[in-house]
Amino acid sequence: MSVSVRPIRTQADYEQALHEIGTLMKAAPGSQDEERLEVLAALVAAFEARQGNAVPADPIDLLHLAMRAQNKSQKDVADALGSRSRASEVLSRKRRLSADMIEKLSRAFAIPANLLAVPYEAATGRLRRLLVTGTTTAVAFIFAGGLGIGALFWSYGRDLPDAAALAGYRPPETVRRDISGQPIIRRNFVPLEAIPPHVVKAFLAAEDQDFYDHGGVSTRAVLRAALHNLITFGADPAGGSTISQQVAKNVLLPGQPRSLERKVKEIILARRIERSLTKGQISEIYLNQIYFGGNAYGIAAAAKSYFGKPVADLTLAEAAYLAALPKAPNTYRLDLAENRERAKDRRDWVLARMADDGLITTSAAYLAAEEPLVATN
Amino acid sequence: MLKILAPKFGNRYEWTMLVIGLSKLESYWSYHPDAEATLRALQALLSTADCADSDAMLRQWSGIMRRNREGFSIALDPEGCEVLFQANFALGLIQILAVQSISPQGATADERQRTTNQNPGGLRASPA
Repeated sequence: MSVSVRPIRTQADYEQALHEIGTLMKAAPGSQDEERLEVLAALVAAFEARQGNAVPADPIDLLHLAMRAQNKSQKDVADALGSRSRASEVLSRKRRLSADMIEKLSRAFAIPANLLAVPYEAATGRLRRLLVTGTTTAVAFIFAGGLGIGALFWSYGRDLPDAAALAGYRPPETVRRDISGQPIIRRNFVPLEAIPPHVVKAFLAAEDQDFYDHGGVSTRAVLRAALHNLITFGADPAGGSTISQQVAKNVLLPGQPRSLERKVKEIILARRIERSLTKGQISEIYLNQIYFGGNAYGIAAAAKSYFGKPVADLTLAEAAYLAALPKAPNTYRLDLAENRERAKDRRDWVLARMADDGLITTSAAYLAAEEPLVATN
Repeated sequence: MLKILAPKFGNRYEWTMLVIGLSKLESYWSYHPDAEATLRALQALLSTADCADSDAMLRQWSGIMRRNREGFSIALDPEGCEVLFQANFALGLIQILAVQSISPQGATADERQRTTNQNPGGLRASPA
């Protein structure tokens, strides 16, 4: 069964439709007239929605009318709200309806809560618009930023050295001398098992506190470095590099200048290194690879160079001093008199950090800090 | 509480009756602005009236609604008007037929006009 009706475009169409609706209102259920009535009513409602202004009814006017319709009085409002004075204030518009009152009045007078909450909807509507706009903008920025960072990492991550090859890597043992016979580069490999635990701990405290917890990149270190850079306005840039990142930088990206590109590559390689190597392998490569100043590469050469002894004989204070060196080897070299004071400060800072991290006892840190810092050769 | 603080998520806007003929209300309040708020409230309440039949509606609106020849009338005495409408409960449809003024005594303007027309010369009968 189909119903043929004219669309309502003008006021005349509207009046005619209203007149026809008036005649169809008593249409028998299921009849064609009822179908026609339903269609006409929908068209009229749509026309009125286009024509009319959508000002919502005032909640207190609604309440007053509902009271009149239901033969109720202010006493009934007071009963619903549990307070005569509150009812009086609400009805005289001296008090705004709270959410609790709206619920109670909605139940007592069978008025839908959304009709009574119109001002709240207007208020929350503004707040909601602000929140939605702000959230949408933030999400868009985060999404765009994520895409940009993703593209950056994808671009830099394509032609990098193979991190898995490091599994079989062993820093070479070399001694290079100048023409007068003085060693200019010295490196002796020493396996991790031959390095005393307090030496490894000193490096972990100084260089990478979260070494055993992160997967190549430490969020805490990155945030700390970012805060430091912010405070110092970049005058003393900190990278927040983990030991894995330093291995990537020193072994896989040697000689590359400090740049955003190198930092991104470090992060990518550090993640790959963590997937391919154990923590022990990473720390072994690190300790044997890094530069300690004074032509010494690797912990064994550094122990020999600074204290004239093998790694296994290093004391806690000496280990702490060596752990302080990779950050700025030439700043803390003991062969220059002006460095000694700050070198001792840095060593004591490493000891304090070891104690703070629970790697050594506080008393051990104090005892070690009492030791003089003297290079033997 | 959720319905009020987060209306988008909590409210169910259920308009149980479709009210049409709103132009009758608007044309009345354009001449009687004092009645606008109540007429808007009336439209909103009628839209949400949950009535299965005329008896239920009369019970729910017993304070101001009466049955009449065309359907129903709602007397809004403080506003000095009466709203006439008819309803089709099967379709959930209410059609506002007219809004007419009533005298403080309850006589509609039409009735007063009829009384006036019966007097010679079209003048209202003297109270004396």
